[in-house]
Amino acid sequence: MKIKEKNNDILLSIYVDSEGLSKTKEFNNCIYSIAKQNKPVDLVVFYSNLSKDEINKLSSTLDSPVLSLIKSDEKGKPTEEKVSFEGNKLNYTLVETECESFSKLFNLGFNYAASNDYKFYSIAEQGDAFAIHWFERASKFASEEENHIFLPLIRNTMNGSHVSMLNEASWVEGMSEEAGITDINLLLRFNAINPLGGVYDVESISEISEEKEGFFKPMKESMKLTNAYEFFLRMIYEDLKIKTIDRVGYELKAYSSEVYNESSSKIPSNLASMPSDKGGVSQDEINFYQDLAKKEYFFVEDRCLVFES
Amino acid sequence: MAEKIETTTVNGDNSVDARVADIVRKLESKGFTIYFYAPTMNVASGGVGVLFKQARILKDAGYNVKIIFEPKVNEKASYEASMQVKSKVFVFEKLNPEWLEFDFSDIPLVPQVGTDESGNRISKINYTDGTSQKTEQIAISVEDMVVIPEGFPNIMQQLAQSPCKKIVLAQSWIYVLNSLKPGSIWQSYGITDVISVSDAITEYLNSIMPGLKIKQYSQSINRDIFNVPERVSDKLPLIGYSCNRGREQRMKTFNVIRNFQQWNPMANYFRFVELSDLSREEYAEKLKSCSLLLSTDEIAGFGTAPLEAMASGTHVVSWAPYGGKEYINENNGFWAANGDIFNLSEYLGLAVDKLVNGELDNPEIQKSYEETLSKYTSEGERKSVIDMFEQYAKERVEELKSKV
Repeated sequence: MKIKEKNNDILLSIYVDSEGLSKTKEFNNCIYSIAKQNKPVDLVVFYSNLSKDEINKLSSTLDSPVLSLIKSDEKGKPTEEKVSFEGNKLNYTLVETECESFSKLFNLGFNYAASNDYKFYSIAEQGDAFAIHWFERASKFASEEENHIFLPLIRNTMNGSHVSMLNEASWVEGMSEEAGITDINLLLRFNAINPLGGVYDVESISEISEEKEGFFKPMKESMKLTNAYEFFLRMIYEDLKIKTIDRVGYELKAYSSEVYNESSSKIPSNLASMPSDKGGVSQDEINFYQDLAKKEYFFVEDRCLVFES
Repeated sequence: MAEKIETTTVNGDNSVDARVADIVRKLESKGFTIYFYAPTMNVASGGVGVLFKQARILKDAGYNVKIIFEPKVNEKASYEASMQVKSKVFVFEKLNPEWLEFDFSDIPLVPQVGTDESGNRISKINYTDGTSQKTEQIAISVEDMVVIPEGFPNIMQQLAQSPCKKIVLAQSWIYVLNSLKPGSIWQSYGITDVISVSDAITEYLNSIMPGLKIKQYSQSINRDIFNVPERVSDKLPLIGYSCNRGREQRMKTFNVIRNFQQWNPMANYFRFVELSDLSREEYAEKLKSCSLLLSTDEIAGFGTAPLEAMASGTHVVSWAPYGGKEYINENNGFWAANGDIFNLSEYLGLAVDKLVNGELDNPEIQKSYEETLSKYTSEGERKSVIDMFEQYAKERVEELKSKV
């Protein structure tokens, strides 16, 4: 688990597959937003089942991402403008993996961060985007406050339209005991936070995570759908503090789909109506994992409880 | 209730030359008193703050300064006290602006009350806080100066025949004509000297009472208490507001807030914090933690709140009041058309959107705030006050000499 070269104190992981890579514009915009950060980060890119051509395309995008902007011309007609990346090259490491679930990918990235002495770890999904000030602001907060996880406000979009904010609940009046800090009561009432774009203190999380043969498992890999929810509940239960920084730092881009891919933390609203061969999960199973998360966060180790129909 | 302020002349050699020489000597050696007439307001008020600040600066510069005020009768306390002693007793509200950020304990606060029911001068007054104070019949001399706020033509009238120097301190444009009888102007009371707190008020006064001798007072923002927090994490998604101008302002402010909330449901995590009834230190602390200040003062004569916000790194979303015209520009706030509720609600939404997207974190923005604030320093304020009163003393000397 060696990173090519450690240049920064934050390691960001991202998983790329053929589908994500085929959406050239979205993928380029995502990488551009990482490369353009005011405070640079190191990147580990996990991939699976990519052809040689696809790996070349991936490397080429990581080396020189191109941002696509929609602008209006003089007549008000929308036109696309392309902006090539200029600046220091992104410091990235490509790693082929067989992990294809979000919790496994989260853990894999986390272990890369831990074994290469990164102070912070973060995770993104292909096609999403960061605000360019995000890691700079999160680092400032980390230097000023003794919190362990810093979450951005997330602009949640569906098919390109802004539909909601995520992670903001802890700022809402009367929702949590300490403004901005997600507590157990808030989280038990609302599964209101999202792991994407968050900045995680590697040392603190390592200390309270299950470890098997030198491999940390902050997220329970056996748990479907609600692994991130259970993770956050357990982090709070173990006295780690989760702060939402009051700036939009991440844009989550979701699209209507008839297929659910477990490598993503984005759970589609139509999951229960999807056929099982397309990743669909029954409502009973969804309910089971929601209840399970609320019961399992007391346990550090993954007890591998699974739904039985 | 208020008795007429009496004036006396200087004793000694009765010759005119000797008397004038004595007055000149006093004027040249700070041997005179500057009286400030203060409205009895115990809630935080920018206007009262300016008045006390000028008194403080002059006192520190070696002038004799007194603040005179007319204590208000507290009807409830008076009734209860009267019932106890079975005769008519007055209990008064004390002037005690303890919210000020500076000490004023060495400046005498002199209550002015009239006569009791029998026509006798009240020699001692009782306050609602249980304390009492002997009244003092002040004797204003020719060399003395009296500073009167713009909204008190009754005091101007009482002093109309007094030979002392009378100066109006004009801090608000709205009370100037509203408080005067139709057709009256300050010159009718023998007043031509005015201290104006802003370019806007100077412009306004010149338009309605041409011929006044207006001196400009330079305001200051106390950077010891109004400053940008050291940690970025000390700024919270809070929007400060205050409604010190009564029910109508409160209603309009809440209308702006409600419009904003309805039009921007995704910003529902922003909390609104009322910045009223606080000491200056508490006010500064709360303002510092706010990301935005919603200012709804339509009639400000100058408007220090937006400047205090800029000094605290708090972005201003405000109506553009006439009084603030000397510092309002496109780079130092979100300025909506004065009084336009919808426009201000929209601007609040725009400011929140820019804020959460990090567009207001640019250090250039704070630089433009500092550029605005550079005109309003404590040193500039101190100098402007001392220069004004030195000039008044000199003018008075010239005036007296020319009369002789």
